[in-house]
Amino acid sequence: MAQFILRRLLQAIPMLVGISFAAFVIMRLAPGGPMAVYAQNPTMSEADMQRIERLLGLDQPIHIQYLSWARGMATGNLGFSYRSGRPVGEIILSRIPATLQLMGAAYLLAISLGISAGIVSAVRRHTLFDYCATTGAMVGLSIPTFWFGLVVVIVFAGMLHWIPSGGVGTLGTSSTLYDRFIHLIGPSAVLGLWMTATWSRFTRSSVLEVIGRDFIRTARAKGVRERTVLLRHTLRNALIPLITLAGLEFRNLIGGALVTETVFAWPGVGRLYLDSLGFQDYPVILGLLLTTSVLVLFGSLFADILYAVVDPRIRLG
Amino acid sequence: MRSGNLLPVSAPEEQTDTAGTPADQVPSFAAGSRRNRSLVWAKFSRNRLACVGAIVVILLVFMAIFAPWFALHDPLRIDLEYKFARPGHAGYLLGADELGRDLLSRLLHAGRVSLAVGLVTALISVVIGSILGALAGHYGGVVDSGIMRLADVLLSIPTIFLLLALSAFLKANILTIILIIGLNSWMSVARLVRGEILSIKQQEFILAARALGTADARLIFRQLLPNALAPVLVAATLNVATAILTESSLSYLGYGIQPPTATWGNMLNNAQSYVLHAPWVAIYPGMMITLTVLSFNFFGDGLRDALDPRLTLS
Repeated sequence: MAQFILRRLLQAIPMLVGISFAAFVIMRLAPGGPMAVYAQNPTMSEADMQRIERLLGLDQPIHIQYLSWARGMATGNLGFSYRSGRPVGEIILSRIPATLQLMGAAYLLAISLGISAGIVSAVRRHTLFDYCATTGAMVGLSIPTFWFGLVVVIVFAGMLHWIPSGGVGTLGTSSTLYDRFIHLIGPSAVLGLWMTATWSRFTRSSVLEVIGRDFIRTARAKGVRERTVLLRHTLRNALIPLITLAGLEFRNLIGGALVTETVFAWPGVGRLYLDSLGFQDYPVILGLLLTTSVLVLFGSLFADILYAVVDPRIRLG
Repeated sequence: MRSGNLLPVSAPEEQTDTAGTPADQVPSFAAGSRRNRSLVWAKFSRNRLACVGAIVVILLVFMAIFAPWFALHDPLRIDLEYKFARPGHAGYLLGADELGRDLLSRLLHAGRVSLAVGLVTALISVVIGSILGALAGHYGGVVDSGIMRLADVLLSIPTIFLLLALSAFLKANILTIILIIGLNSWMSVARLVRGEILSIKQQEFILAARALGTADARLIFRQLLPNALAPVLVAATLNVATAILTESSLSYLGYGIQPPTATWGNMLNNAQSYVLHAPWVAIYPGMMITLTVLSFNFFGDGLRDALDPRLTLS
């Protein structure tokens, strides 16, 4: 087991290098490069520009620049924001809890609703419920997140006044737990809908796959009660692959979070990213590209390890 | 945002490498014989949702091609007198937007852009994905691990974050949007093609072709790729759906195709500020996106079931 974990961790290293290199190259595409923000300042002379360039090490060859930048990254130094001058790492850390809260709520929704719908669909195959659930899941996958968010705001905030139209808490009041909860409902439902759809589809086909296997028929032939067949034999096997899905979905979820945060004025990393793009705050943009990618990488790594813990066939095979 | 997620959400175990599977157990997707084709058609036409999806797709394409004939007004003509005109008011069948532009005309013209972006992007992703996947599967070794690690890296960076940065830096227009989405969605196709090729590589007809000294390029394009056609076709259909969704998200966020050119996404660009007093302006474009994406998804899903040789008519 330890050997498996070590092997997977070692495999992640070239991926980290690849991601950091990709992010570095993308930032080189920025119009005017890292100096653009200074070039806009009319009081800067040509000599000033050259001095800053030297100071920032931008006169060095590109591979030297990458190496010194990567060294900074590795030691946790992500640079300083052009806009506020604060350390990028600190800015990003201050926004992560809001995003994690949103994603956590969406995961919870998707796992509870999606898995149960998928199981019922598979067990009661070709019934009205199955038909509605599979069609509904497809609709859920096809609705653009931002538009579904707008519709939720129109209907539940604008017309029914059940939920607030955005933010994390009512302004000007000390936010209570209830207040925060009521603000979380809208965005997490919007973010969770599409994930619920994915999970129910995946669960359904996974359960159907297991239900058709020989050992299930054997269990039934032995006279095992249907309840036990379902819970002990089928679900135990069918739900394992969902661990992989949880890891894979992380990337899509963080993208969905960006859109959802925009619609509901939720102060997470997605909003920070869009704001930084608007201000051409390159260090923050680069920092966020890296942080989110590394989170995705570790998400799938964690899922792989968890899978191996649960299913010995993976690590021994 | 959602790229890749629409691909086979089917049973997880079927997607693993089939490299070690004996040749006789490998399901061949070759849709060659006529009997095979009529079986595929029989399976597809039984799937009602897939048929509806296909018909709606055809109607939407038709609508996009003839948009100028259907649109009663100039989609770009601004008339502030009719700002937020209600549906049906003064010849505006679906109402007018915040600048008094006719919504129906804008929806029709936006459909052209959104569909074109979706279709061309899917084409790009399939061409790149097929070539890279075929190279990886055929040559193996360094080529294989190089291409697949590149795919892994791209699959680790959250799509929407990457696309937003690229389109902010590259001056977004229709061409750049098509290119950046296309260049970021070939990975699933490449994995698919690679897997197919690994599984048929050891079959006798390929060994025979090799023994005859067939050139690599000919082997790849005439023997290997045609056999991977069916799953690629399915992936392409589902990629159209994903691309339309991605473009609309980018345009909604203001980093996609820029106004005055209308797309379903950028018609919702300012929706936030008036969504509560003129909700219809925000409702239509989203309904069009959902309808289009849903149709392509049903179509692609039906196609996958119909082309799957393991499913029989029963």
